[in-house]
Amino acid sequence: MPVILEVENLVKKYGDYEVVKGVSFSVQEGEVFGLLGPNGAGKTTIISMATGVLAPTAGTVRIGGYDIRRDARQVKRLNGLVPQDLALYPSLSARSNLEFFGRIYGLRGRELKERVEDVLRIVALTERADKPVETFSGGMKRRVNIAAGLVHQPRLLFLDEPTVGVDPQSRNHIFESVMRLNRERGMSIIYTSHYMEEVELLCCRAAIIDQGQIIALDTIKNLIELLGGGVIHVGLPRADDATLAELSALPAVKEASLLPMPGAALAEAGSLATTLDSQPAPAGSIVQVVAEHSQQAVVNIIGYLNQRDIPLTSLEILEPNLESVFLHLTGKKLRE
Amino acid sequence: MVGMRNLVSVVWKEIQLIVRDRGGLGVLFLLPVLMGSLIAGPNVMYARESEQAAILLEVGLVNQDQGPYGVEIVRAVRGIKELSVRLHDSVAEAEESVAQGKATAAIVIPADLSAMIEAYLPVSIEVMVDPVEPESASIVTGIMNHVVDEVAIWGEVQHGIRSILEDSGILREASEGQRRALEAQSLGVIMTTLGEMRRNPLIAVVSEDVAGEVIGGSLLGQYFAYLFPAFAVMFIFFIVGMVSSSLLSERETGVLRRLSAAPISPGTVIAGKMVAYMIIACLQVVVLLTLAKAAFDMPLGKSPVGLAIVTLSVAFAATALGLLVAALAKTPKQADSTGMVLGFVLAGIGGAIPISPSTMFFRSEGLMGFLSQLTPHGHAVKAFYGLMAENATAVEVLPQAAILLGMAALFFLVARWRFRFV
Repeated sequence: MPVILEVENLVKKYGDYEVVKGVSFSVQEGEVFGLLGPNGAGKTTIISMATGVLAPTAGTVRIGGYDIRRDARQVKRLNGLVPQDLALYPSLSARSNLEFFGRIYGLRGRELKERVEDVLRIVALTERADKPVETFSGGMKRRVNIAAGLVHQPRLLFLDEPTVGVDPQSRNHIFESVMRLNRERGMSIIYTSHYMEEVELLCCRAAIIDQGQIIALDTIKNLIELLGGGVIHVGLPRADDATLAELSALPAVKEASLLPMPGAALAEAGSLATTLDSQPAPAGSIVQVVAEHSQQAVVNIIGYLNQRDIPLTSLEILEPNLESVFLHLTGKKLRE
Repeated sequence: MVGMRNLVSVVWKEIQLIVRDRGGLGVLFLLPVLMGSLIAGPNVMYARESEQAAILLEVGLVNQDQGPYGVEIVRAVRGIKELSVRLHDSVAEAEESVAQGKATAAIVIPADLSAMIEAYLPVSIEVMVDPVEPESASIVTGIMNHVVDEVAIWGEVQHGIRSILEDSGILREASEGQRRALEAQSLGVIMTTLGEMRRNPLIAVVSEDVAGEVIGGSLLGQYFAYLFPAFAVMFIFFIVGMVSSSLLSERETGVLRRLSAAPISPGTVIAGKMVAYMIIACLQVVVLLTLAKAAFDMPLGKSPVGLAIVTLSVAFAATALGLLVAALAKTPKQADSTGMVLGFVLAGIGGAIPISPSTMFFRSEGLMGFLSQLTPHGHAVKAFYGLMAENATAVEVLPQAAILLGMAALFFLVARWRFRFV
């Protein structure tokens, strides 16, 4: 598959503050690529540089073989941007908004009308097309926002947090639209989100970004397999190096390390975690255990602690998914 | 070509947005019309009332003369708008009318008036007055003196012609018919020449104001030529708040970011917005001045080109000031309020709040005159007034247009330096 987007050593600085620190990745034609990271990680800045909204401090971006700096106009014709904000004119109808954005990309006459009708069908808003956008629900506005990025049939679509503040029904509709655009029209899509479920569902590959850097980049399957059989968080009154070494040596355990995070985070694990009790985690140490097989590892860990008479203050078993991968890699939750 | 098409797209989008903003349209179009009409209407009514009061002098008229001069005086008296003339058959009837207070005065034209004038002999017209209305009586007397003077000129000229012809001996062999024809022909030539001299005098007295400018047209028309353009200028500058808040809203909602990712330059986006608001500003002027002309007979002057130049210059200055406010304000709301406050303050200083002719600061000396010259409003109203009230030419208002364009360029350059597109 040819490469549609190549990003090399991309850097963005504001004064001394480096927002993006030498990011490199590439996206193949027809791929849905995820940029996963918490708010403030630098996802939007990367997208802004890739779409020509911001000038990079250093590095190169090539789209469809064109350099974003040298051939900005050609690159911009290939791109479609759906920004995180509802970048629309609220008092205009959905149709008028789409016609305006279509004209900006050079569409006129019958072609413009056909494209507008097409994208209205894609986002299922044909019947409300002539109503002012300000009368729409949040989810409908999001769908018009997406349609405005699609009207000129871009080869590469950037979707920047497209489901923020959207009701479940509209969110599902957005997912379906993204999948159909990719499957039926072969559109390449860069999808940024801090919702790992969305990236897992939609993307073939993803880059996990934290503090302006890519900390992991692979297929979703391979990223999850980084955790092997899962991750177990073991709460202990204290954990020294000897304890960590002995835990690491247990059967079905790949490695054990001290988690540099406050114990309170355990109580917020939600549906992804199983805890021994519902009490807030006590103060102490949290040991993160990467398991080859989580159930067998739990049995071995409890046996070891009983044998050494070490009290267990909490136990959390994290399912292997992108959330736990991010937690494993950064010691932070995605939505902090 | 692509840039031009994009520009048209942005202009069209902006106009759609403006048209949907009913409140904004009300401020830009309805409010100046209402305010202008509210001030102009009572002025017109007052003027009409004053005019009616002047013509309500009732006089009686008795014409005992059957000759041409008596008829001529009756025609002249009846043509005077200040008098309401009632014809009587007898002197007694006219006297009774005055005695009963039905008439202020009675004019009696004697039976031998024409004959006496023809004979170049003294003759008088009697004016009987009501002693309880001495002021009205003196007005009627004054008017009659003026009328008689006019008629007397005919008599004097005719007598002169006859004397010259008789003294020259030309008419010695002529028949009576030939003599009358010659007299009439000479009289016609002289009176035509006299009429022409009155219309185009070689020496004329002209009223001037203290600045040495000729005052023409009615005073009310001149006031309207200040009132309506001043309101137009004041409300054109309310566009400042609209331009700036709409631009900042687009930045706040991420539209400018989206447009930055599209193949359209930031310059085209800004220019499109400016052109759209300039069209609205020009429409404001056209609507307000057309209505003022139709409803209040406001003079428009003699230079449509000058009006177009000044209108475009004001429109450019207002939209550029809007960009400047957008560059300096932080939020759309702040920009909107700043635009509104600037609109009122600059209009007040510049003489564009036309409460009375005393607010024409652009014609004043001193501090207010100086401050007025610092505002675009002052120059704009001065230029409009010059064109409409003083019949200035397009060339004569070019200095004001140039100052307005200079201010616009300054606002634009500072805005371009300061404005953050994304």
